[in-house]
Order: sequence, then structure tokens, then C-alpha cells
Amino acid sequence: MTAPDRTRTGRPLGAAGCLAASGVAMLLLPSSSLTVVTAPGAGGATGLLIGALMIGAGIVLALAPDQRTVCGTAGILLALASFLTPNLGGMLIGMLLGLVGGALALAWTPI
Amino acid sequence: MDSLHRPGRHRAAAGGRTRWGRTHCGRTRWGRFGVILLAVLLAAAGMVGAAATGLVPVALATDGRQHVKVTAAEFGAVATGVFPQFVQDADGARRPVVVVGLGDVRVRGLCASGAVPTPVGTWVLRLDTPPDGEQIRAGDVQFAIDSVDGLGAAGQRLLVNRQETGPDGIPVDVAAPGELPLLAEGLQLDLSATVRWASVADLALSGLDLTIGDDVPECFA
Repeated sequence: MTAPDRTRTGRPLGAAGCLAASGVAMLLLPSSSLTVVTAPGAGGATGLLIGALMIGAGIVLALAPDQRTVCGTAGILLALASFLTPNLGGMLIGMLLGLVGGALALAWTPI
Repeated sequence: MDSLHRPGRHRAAAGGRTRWGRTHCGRTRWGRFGVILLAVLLAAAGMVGAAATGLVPVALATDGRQHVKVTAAEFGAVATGVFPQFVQDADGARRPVVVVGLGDVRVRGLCASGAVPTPVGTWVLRLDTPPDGEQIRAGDVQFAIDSVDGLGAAGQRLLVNRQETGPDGIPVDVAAPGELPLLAEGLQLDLSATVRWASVADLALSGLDLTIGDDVPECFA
């Protein structure tokens, strides 16, 4: 009798959760009491846009696991690009969550 | 063919039915995850390192109530404009501010520190660059001043629109229309102001030293 495989799930929810959490971190961490990064202009909007796209990638990944390659690749690229935005990728926390989520999405395979 | 579509390979996992009616069951290949994560972390580390050494420009912005102390051994910039604007408080009230724009900013020997009160004490974040190192460059700096509470200055050299002189010593106006070159060396500026927001774009750092801790001293008392 073998132990149940706890990594076997119906959807890559861990990856989707990390991607969505990454986007939330990019959107919310700048508005914390420590440092607020809501600069006007394209620079500030870029950070908000990347955060929204990360949340979207997480939602799409949860609804359509077939798109895991697209979502994972987009998540990794967006996370790397977020470092160049005004809040440094959600104070690096959002960026790291995005990288982990993207890697989880690419490593998830259907069986 | 994707194994997902092979007959008999489908598994009816709880919650595994997609909105298009197909079922999924999958697992994470941790070996693949480790390889991918290692690769992207290396890429991220390279990016952070490139930003810290000035190879990759980054953008910074801040807003809210932060007490930041800044000193610099040498500062040069081109003033690109001063214009009024409004900011909106959390309660919806609109407050007028004066937005100051600086372009082609060059700073050497920068020290910037900010103290952040936390439940475990006051932590200081301090950025230093060596006074004899490379210049920090920023293509566009903007900050919105709500009020200036105090200003004191003492310095060795302050040049306004006089960065170049001809062979006979006569200053040459090299500024483009609407720009005002500024150069300060050995200038001690004690400015206490309320800045509503600030943004820095096209920032090229060089030799940046970042220290964080509850025993890190601020740039000045």
C-alpha cells in the first residue's frame, strides 16, 4: 500500500494562488503604511498594470489548467519585469511570489 | 498527443472540471520546479545585481508620510519645470502641491536614510554610495511639495545655469528652452518639507550599499 500522493490535485491551485498573491502584493504593498508607491504617470501605472496581469494569470491558470505554459511563462516574465517598476516588484515579495508561481505552473503536468 | 486527451487517462478529480467541461488531474514535478525556480532566481539575482551596479535602470517612487534624510557630496540636475497640481487625501479632500521636475540628475556620494517604527523597534534603512565612486544618474525626478517648513543652506559652490564658460570666462547659456541647469558641490542643505509624492525614473545606481537594522545610524542626527 502506497502513501497517497498529496501533490496530485485537480488544478494547479498552488501555482494559481502564488501568481494571484504576487499580483495582490504588487498592488497592495505599495499602499502599506511603510512606503506608498502610487506615483502618477506611466511609471506608477506600469506597476499597477503588472499586478493586475499577475492576478489575471492566476485566475486563468485556475480556470484553464491547459494554459499553464502560457500563464507560467507570462508570470515569470511579468515578475522579472516588475522589478523595474516603481515599487520594485511589490518590495521584492511580489516578484518572488510570481517567480515561484510561474515555476509551479510550468512544473505542473496533467496525468 | 497530449496525455490529457488520451482515452482512459482522464481522472474525475474533485473540483477538477474546467469551465469547458474537461477534467484534469495533475501533479507537480518537483524536480522540474526546482530547475525552473533556480534558473529564474539566478535571472532575478542578475537583474538585482545589474540594477545595483547601474547596468539596468530602475524606477522608484514614494508617497505618504516618510521622514527621509538625504545628503550628497555632489549634485547636478536640470530643472525641467515647476507646476501646480492637486493630490487627494484618503478622506477625499484635495490639497494643492507644487511639483518640481528635475532631469539628468547626477549624484555622487549619496546617503539616504529613513527610520520606520515597527512593533519590534525603530528600524533604519540606509542607502550609501561611495563619495569617490561612480555617479548615480536619473533621467527624470519629480516630487510634489506640500509645504516647506524650514530651509537652511551653507555651501562651497552653487551654479545655476552656469555649467559652461567660454575661453574668455564668459558664461555660456547651454540650457534648452524651459530648462535650468543646476550644479551644487559641497552644499549643505537643511530642508524640512512635506513631500506628498516623489518618483524617480531611468535610475542608474552604482555601487549601492543598502543596510537595514535597528542599530544602523541615520545619515545625520
